[in-house]
Amino acid sequence: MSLRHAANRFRRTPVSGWDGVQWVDNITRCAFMASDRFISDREYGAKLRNLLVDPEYPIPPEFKVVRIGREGQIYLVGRTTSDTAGATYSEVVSVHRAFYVCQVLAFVQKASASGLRTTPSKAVVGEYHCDRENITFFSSKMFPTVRFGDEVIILPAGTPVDTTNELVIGTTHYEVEEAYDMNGYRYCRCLMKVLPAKDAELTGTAVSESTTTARMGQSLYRKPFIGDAVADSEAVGQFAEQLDGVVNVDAVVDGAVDP
Amino acid sequence: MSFALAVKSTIDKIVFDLSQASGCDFFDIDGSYMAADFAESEKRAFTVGSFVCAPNPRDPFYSVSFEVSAKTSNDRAQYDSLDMVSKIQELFKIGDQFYVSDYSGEALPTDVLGYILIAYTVSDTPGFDKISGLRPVRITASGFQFPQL
Repeated sequence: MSLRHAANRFRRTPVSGWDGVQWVDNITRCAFMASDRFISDREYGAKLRNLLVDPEYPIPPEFKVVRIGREGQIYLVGRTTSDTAGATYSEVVSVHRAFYVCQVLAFVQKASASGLRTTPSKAVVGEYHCDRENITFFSSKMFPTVRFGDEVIILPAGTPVDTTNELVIGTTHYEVEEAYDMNGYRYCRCLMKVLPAKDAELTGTAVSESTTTARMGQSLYRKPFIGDAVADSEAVGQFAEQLDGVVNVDAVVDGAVDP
Repeated sequence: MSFALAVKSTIDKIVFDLSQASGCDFFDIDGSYMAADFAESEKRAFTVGSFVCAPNPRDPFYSVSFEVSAKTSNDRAQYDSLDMVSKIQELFKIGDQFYVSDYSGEALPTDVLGYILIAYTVSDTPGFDKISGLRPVRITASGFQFPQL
């Protein structure tokens, strides 16, 4: 038995790829491994995994978002490194769990017949699977209904986003302060501002009227997306834990809670 | 649709055509905070601004006033600026008439709504900000709106 054969013996988990429009099944098969040795103060092992693939059956480069196995968990495809003994016998693909879907907004200017550009308007120019990591979080001192957060949005490699864009996850807007490529992903360092309910009209999504942190977590969770598997209750619960203790905006507005 | 809007868009169209023929940029100086790509560029540009159009004494007679300016950067001797101003003055001569249509939409207009007659032009005091300068020409005109049937 060759080393390559042995290394790929457990390559039994089917992988589907997102082509931007729909899921393409069985783009390759992998061994779905844990990556718990790299746990930072923000990341935790369940978000980061490794796929072992046969170098002759890699994940095709056009697929930056994959769905693993029968559970249908969605991951962003990161950097690939090779295991080599003379020749490459296995490839290790880093993947990052994508809990959310974000819309990318850009300013669109039209030219009038006079040749002068008219007032720019925001338009949705793309929608991508993503993850978010909170760096810091604090309340506005001027307006109790406004909260700020310093966050990192992690997008698939090659996502066309820069500092002229805004990102929207659910009803939350993120202003992109920095955009850079790292570890095979597109990172956006963002300033998050949680707006009052009426601004949700911009994203076309309804703002949750709930006053519980768990349902606030759901309002920021990914909205129904083409090809999604059954809603991942594990991810909702994990996100709700992250929001535990956050001041509820609706309760402050109603006067039930002091900011 | 207001006649003032149509006059403003017509002037925009006239100066835009001049800028295209001269290889310059064109923007409205009063909206320049939303046109940073032009306003902060070092490329030469024609601008329009300080536009006023009001009935005088009443509709269909109007008084029109606006500024067309030459914006230049790194123009040490002001030769570029004065060359552009001469083109503005050549375009808007006293006695010239321009038909007015509404160019504010996306499609070219098909109706002529009135006309303006250039009555007076004067070069205003130029302004400078570090490497850039703005040399305005103030233009006064009389406008007439055709009866709306």
